[in-house]
Amino acid sequence: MAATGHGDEPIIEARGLGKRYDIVRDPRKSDWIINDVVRTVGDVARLLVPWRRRPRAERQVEALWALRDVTFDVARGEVLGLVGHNGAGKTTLLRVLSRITDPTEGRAVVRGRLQSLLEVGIGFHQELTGRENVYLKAAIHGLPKQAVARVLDAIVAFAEVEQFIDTPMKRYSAGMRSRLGLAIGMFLEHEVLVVDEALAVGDARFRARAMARIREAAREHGTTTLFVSHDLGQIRELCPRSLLMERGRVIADGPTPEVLDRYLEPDAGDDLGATRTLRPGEKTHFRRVRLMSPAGVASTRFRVGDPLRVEMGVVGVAGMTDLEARVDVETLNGQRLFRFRSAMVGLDLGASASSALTLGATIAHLPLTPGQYWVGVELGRGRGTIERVERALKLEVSPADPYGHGEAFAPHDGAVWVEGAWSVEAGEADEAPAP
Amino acid sequence: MRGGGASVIVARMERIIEPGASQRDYWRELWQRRGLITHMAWSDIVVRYKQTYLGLAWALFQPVVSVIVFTLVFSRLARLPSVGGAPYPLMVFGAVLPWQLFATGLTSVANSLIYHRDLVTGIYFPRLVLPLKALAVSLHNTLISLGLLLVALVAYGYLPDWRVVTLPLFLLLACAAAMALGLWIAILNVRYRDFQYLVPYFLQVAMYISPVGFSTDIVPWKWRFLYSLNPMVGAIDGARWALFHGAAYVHPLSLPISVAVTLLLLAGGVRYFRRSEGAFADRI
Repeated sequence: MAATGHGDEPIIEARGLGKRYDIVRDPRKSDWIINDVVRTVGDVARLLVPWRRRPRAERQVEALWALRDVTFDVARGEVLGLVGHNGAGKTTLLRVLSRITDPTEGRAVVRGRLQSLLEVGIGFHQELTGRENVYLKAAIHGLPKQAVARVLDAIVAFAEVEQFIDTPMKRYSAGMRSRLGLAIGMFLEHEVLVVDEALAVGDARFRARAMARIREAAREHGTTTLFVSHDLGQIRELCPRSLLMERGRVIADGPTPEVLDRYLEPDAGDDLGATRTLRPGEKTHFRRVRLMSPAGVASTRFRVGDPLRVEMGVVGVAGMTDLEARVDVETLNGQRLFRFRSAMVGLDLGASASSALTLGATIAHLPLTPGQYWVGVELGRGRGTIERVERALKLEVSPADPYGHGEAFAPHDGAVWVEGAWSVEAGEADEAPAP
Repeated sequence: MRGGGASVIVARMERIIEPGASQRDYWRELWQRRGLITHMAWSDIVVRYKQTYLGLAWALFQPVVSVIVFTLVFSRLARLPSVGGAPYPLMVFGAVLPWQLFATGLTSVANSLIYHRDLVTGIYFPRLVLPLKALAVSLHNTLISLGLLLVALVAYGYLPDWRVVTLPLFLLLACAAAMALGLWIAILNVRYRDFQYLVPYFLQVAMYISPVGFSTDIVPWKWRFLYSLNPMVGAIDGARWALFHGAAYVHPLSLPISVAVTLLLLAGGVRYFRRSEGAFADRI
């Protein structure tokens, strides 16, 4: 099916794509509406009277490149992963390829119909039925009625909305709406599918079916997919090849395992977000909180099973007895997952005579499932609290394979990672030992 | 799978993405997507009738109330004359028709982009589809009013002559004026939502300085030229001319000036729209 006569040419060719946003430096002046109106009228006057073109007065603007020098090829039938931290430019790239926004420089060629699933629920009319909405959405995507008729049954079945297809959309649950949106995108004819976190909708079973469908479309119809997800398990499962983006640039392009290794490796050099400095007016005792990687660099990014060191700079504690320091790790919702106290390991801080101390709490193997967490610190005496820095730093844990057997621990494996061993012996353990 | 089989047919499609690429083949692409304009407009109209109990009656309500109020105020109280012996309510109706088209058209065109913010930021299609769709929905209202006007003409026993065939041209002028002003406001609305609040006030004032409730004849001669700069003067006088046996006096400069002002605004609006289109998704 992929044999379309020019299978050798890449279906997507991006060459030096760049997207610049201009950020006005002095908002008080430039956001005055009258300036904009004057400028607009001036622009139009220049358009209508082209020979009076004059350079526009210089504005104080700062250029922010959301995308820069992005060059890559995608072959027909490939499922390409796109990874990178938030703000790395993944979504901007997909928006440029989907023609929602123009690039500032560079060029891309897309050889085929591109279907983008950037936001799945949009374009629906709440008062229309599911069926009417499928046709409306198809029209928005530029497909004729006949093209919908062919795939309507498949869409309805995939979205599991058979009983509701003639019910107004406003009666749909949020899940039904996004399932239908996703199904429309996946089944309307296309050659390139662009998926941005769209599989974050629906339950695990639906996600699995959607992923299976993407794989099947690639294998059987030569459909090309660009896939963005923060779930690295999905990327690993679906995409043989991935691009890693950072600050608008592609910094790695190759086999997914290698690209993900690069993505997950802690930054060389200090991560600015990994240190929290506190002014004397803010806190009496705490001066600094920092997350350290095993290599001794400040970092907020760790992998499951990595060692984590929380370092605290503390002053004014000389002569305090029964003093203990505490490290708390919480979910973003504020549920405490564990507390690690200095007294647990028998350390008595009061024994130190110095007024300024550096305390270090080392967690040998992070037992957390991939995700984001808050790290807070506290000084206390007995059961009481002397000073607390709540949510001092944000910790990001990514999937990893601590045992090194090619099986990564991912969110679907559960909330905590455990360290342990498996054994296998012949015979049932319950059996009474042979006499 | 069925979807895959069909994809071979469109496989030859090749799309170049580069700065300014969306502006090439713009009109051809808009023409290819004309089905989207009618589909979206049709959906809006269907929904309106699904949602409201009285449906069609609401489309008739507004012009009827306007005609009654204007007739009472301008004819009974102010004792203003009608044109060419046409009954006053009919004369008002002849103006309400293009005015309503202009007012609802302008409002919905002006709000078309911000109303479909999710589409602008989420899916590509030529953005001019949205204001055109808004205009098409307003046109539907006018068609209903037109039906009512025919009934009223018959009821009053005042049938128009051959000139009535020119009526669509004057309605077209009202459409163009709505689009011309509406496009400018739509673009400005993307950055400054203030304009959506300005439109109702603007329309209120504009209605009183346009000859909706009265005849242009009562405007003193020395002001007639200035008055003609308002594009709606040409559209309304023209509509009355078409409906009432040419009785309404159309100032010889009124029509050319109205058309010229409208076309100038429209051309500027479309150019400005196309120039800003690429940045709508980033700014809205």
